[in-house]
Amino acid sequence: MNRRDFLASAGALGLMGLSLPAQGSIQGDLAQTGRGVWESWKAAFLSADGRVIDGLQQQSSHSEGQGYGMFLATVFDDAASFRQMFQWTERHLAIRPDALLAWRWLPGQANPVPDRNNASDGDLFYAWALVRAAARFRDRTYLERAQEIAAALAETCILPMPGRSDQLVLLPATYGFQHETHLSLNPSYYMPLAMREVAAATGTPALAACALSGEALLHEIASEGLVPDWVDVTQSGLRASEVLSANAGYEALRVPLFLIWSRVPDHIAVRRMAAVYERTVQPGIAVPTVIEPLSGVVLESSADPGYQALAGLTICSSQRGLGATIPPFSPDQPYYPATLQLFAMVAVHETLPECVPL
Amino acid sequence: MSCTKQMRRAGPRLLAGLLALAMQFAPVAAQDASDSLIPMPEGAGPELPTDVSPIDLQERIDPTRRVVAAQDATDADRQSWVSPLRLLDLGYPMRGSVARISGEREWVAFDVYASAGADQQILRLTTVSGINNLPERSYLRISLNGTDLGRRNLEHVESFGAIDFTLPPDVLVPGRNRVQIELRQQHRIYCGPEAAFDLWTDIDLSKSGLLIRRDSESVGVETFLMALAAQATGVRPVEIRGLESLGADAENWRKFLVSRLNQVLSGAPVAFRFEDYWTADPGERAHARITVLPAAQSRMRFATGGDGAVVMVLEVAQGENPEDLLAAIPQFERRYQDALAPLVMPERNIPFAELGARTEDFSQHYAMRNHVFRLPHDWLVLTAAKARIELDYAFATNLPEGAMLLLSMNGTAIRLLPLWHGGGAPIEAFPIDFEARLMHPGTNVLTLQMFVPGNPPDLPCPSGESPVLQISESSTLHVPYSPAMAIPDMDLAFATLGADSLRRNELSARAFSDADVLTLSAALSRSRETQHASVLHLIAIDDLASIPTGHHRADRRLLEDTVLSGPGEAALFNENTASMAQDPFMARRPASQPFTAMLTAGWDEALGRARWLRDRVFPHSGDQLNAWLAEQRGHAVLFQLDAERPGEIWMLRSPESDIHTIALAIAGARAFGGGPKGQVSVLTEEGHWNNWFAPDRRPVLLEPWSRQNFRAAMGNLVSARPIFYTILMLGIALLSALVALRLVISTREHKT
Repeated sequence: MNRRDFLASAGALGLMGLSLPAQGSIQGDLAQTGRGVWESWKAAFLSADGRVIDGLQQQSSHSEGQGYGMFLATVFDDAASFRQMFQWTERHLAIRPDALLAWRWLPGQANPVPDRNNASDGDLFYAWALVRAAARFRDRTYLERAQEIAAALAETCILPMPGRSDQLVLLPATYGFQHETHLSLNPSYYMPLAMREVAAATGTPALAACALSGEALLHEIASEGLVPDWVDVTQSGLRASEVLSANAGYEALRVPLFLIWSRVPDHIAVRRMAAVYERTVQPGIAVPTVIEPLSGVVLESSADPGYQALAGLTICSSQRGLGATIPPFSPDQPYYPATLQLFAMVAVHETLPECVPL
Repeated sequence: MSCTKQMRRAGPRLLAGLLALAMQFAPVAAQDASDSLIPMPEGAGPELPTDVSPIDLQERIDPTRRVVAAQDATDADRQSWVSPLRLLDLGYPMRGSVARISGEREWVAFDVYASAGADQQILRLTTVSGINNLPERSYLRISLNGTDLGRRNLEHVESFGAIDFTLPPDVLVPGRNRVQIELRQQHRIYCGPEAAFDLWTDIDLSKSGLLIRRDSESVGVETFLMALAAQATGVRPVEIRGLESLGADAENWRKFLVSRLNQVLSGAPVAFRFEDYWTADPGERAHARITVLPAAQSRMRFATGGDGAVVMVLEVAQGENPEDLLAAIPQFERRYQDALAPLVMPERNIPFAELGARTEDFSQHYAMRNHVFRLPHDWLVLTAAKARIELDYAFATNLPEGAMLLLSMNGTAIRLLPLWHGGGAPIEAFPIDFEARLMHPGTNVLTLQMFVPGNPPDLPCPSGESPVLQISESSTLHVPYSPAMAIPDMDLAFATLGADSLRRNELSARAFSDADVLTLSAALSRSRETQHASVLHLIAIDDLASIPTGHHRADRRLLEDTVLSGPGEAALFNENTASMAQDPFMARRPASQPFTAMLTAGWDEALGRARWLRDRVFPHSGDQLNAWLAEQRGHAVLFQLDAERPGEIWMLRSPESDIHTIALAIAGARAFGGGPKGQVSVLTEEGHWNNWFAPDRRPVLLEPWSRQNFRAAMGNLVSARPIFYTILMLGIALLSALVALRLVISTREHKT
């Protein structure tokens, strides 16, 4: 039984429901079948005023969380929640003179946004959510806002790779990651599917070009080992970060997820991670979350279902089997793995319908 | 450096590609710009920072910011789980996963599933005993597949505690294993039958069974059965995931899986719930589930799910026959859990051994044994014909006065044998005659109860008591001849209910949800299929009019009271009924009435007696049914009032009832007897079936009249309405006498 057989049989049964984007799966419309999971996520992490709360990080909210939450609201066809999150974000994080968002908001402080620097992954997901919302909720104002963000990202955070003028890199933020000798990049900020959809919908080709370069960059990084949380890019090439985390940790966990979601499951970065998961993961037991990139030694592990979901998805993608070892969603885990678990769910729905949870 | 400037340096080839990509996405729908949802930021935006604070940057790139405070998941994840004991006798009271065993000496049988590959060296029992138990003299002894594993005192009194038994090698076999526990309990203060009723031990079945190390298991069909047993403990539903993906085939698969998995697993019925692939954590760790995936080719496999549950994965091609897919696995062969009680043929001396009874020595002060047997469905005796038990037994000498053995048939006492005179020698073939009409076609229960007072009763029983009574399996039961006759009774229809027997209409959907129907279906799935399955109509209180009542007239309000009163009201009802009977003022009230009232009361009394006589001559069940119903309270009521529809039963349930309790009672009655009979049956709060038999039901001869059957068949017909036939005969006799008298007078008249 392979993926083609599975899709053929699902199609023969007339079960390939249509959803956004126009990709079918046996689950039908995720807005219906996954409603319980979405409501559970909202109850755990979304406040009544539209703030996505990251309990682990001082109950803060950040552009990443707001963008993630708003994107999920479009998937689950939840216009009201989307609007709440959007309004809160615009009111509290859209305080920069440019169109980008301040990266974090801290509750209970006189100045809740002490650092007005942005986070390009948060901006990217925010823009992607707006693009999807414009189509799902048929509201063009969302698209206009997405266009502003995309243009600002292209303006301030996309630049040629040092030593390779034909390739572009995505800076993690406007400030703080360009150094005299190198750039510090976070490979997990590359979400090729999001970059391409935003590029197409907003007319920002730099984002699409950056997506292409990003995939090539990830390929180059993964050819040496697991993709780490941070890398340095110099005129002479790539090197492990000397200051930031050089392990494949909580940041880099997203890399295989985003590549699978972007329909490049055969990417070497996915295969590398899949090999580690296949070697170490036992279903129902803690999965690796921090790994030494070259040796593959597991430094930390976690039993949070969200991280198990990433492992299950990656293994299923690699093995081309039917069914994935993805656990049920639990709202008792922190915001980050919980949200990644919903992303895994969306990725399965949109790209790997045979990887439904066993 | 501006990114845009850098972009301008990018090659034209790249730009062309990007534009082509952009063309693939359709523009979103236009929207009135005035309908903007974007609120303005609070206050004027400050200027962008020219640099970033090292502290801010450090917080953002801190690799530990996503880390949860020290998770000690390793130990927890590697903990063992339990392949639980499956209680076989559904008659024991259950509360969730906890079974209560009462009495001084009890044997309880369980099944436990094991796999070949798992590391299973410990059999654990998790128990708590009542405060009246004397721990030093209360113990349990356990055997596995006939091998004694040892004895432990019942020392856990205040809270549940574990008792572990190490398994000898080669005792456990893959698949189903039989566990038997002997419980000996002794009262810490008193001795005797009353004290025995206060003795109990609870066994938490969810934590009792084979200890399985999580990392030792190899996933296969046996592991799945172990996990399925663990999942089903305490009536936790088993999840079937993705069934709807099979489209039109889903219903067929639903019925098959519910039926077959209930047949595979012994013990209480297995409940199911149906989910999509994406689920939220139910809070409790799942042990087992079934996941259905549409596929081009069908196959079955077992895997471990992401949450550690053992999953039976069914890859199903369109049009696949469920039976074919599971045929390769012997463990999933059709198996019936309600092994039918032994059939007793009339006019034969049937040894107790054939009823499943074995020679037993009793050393306790109270014991009760039920022996279930079946009589042919065309067997019927309503006359005073006698059945006979020839009892082989022996009892000890010098038993205290009051020691006795009580024999009952279907709840009616048939003989009380004193055990305090004589004794010391075997008594063989002691004849006990009883009225055969106490037995019914279908299932019957012969009950033996032993009472031996404490000696003395106000001190703890002495330890190491020797047997006081032995009842031999060579004792026999003789059932008299019956012509092939039948009488309206729901017993036959109840015995032939199957998984497809349930019927629901629009109104009853309010009272019975899909899950309820499935739970009942699961209980009925455990029986062997019959060629002519009967029908169980599930009805709502609003739909009482749909019950065919024949000539009976059941009072709707009384029916509603029977099932609408909650347990609290039922207790109050019982209390009031009892107190009214004992109320001296109630007794005196008629005497204190004035003369006119007394006259009225006398008239009412006369009318009552006249009605009584009328009911005997022309039995009319309406009033009697209503009088009976007025005294009933319970979870559910079963009806079969229309004799013209013998294959159908109607069920009404209390809105507050637990469907699992009803399902368990149905499954238990089908396996162990004592179930619904007659025309109306109420499942009481205590889990018993109270039955009402219409006094005017008439037997039917199912074979031609002959010289051989005439006497017995006529006897049954007359016995069904004795006073009617007596008066009829008297009338005929009187008429004959009058005619004769007239003849005599007319022949002696003088003609002038």
